[in-house]
Amino acid sequence: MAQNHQDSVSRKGRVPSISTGKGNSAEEPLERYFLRYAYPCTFVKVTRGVMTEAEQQELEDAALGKRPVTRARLEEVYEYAFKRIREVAEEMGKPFWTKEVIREYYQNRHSALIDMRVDSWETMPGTLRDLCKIRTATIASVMHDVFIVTYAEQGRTQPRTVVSRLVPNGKVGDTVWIHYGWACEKAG
Amino acid sequence: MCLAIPGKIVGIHGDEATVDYGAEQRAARLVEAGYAVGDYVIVQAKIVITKVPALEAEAWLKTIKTL
Repeated sequence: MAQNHQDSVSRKGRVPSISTGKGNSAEEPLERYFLRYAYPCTFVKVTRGVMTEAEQQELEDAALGKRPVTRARLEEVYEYAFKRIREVAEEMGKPFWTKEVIREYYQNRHSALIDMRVDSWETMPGTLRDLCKIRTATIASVMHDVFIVTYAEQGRTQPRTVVSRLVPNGKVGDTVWIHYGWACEKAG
Repeated sequence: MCLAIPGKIVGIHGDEATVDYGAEQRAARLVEAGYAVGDYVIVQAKIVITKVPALEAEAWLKTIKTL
């Protein structure tokens, strides 16, 4: 099935596309690219009791390319994100399952929504809003499976520990996109 | 939505913290220095990633009980 047709049908939410989890780094499945940015929030669902740890691990494995995941599953789990992504897609005149749309939402729109205090972000404490933002940061040190990164926030340099598994070749000085406690992908 | 729940460090042994969430306690790794018993923290992938100021954490814990 041609990708454009598949995306068009997927927009109706009824025809799943299954990621094999394979593919070279240049042609990463969209499901995996989406999870780079969406997965870091998933632990919240486990903490709040709406997802099991086993289900979370399945999604982490999919994010790491170890197992497939369907678009229908992702749309079910990340319902709020896809509501916003669909809005961006409509604005851009593209199917929502495209890298350009997903990137636009996560890199340019997600943090703006937080700053506007829409929905639950209105009552969320500042520290958690800060964690929830998706931003670029610089790798200051590399340990076994984490980076210590730094970023500027309100005129100060803030450090954060982030898991490095999604960016295994990151090195000191690299700029990475971060979301909660994960490095999502290298910037640029 | 990213509605994380802070936990409270109730014990530290070397680079491992015990974090209390009320209904349960979980172990998490401390990668950076500067954490102490009583700190509210966010844990992800079993790693303590940041502190949450106590006043913020306590207010948030009260709020999310009503959500």
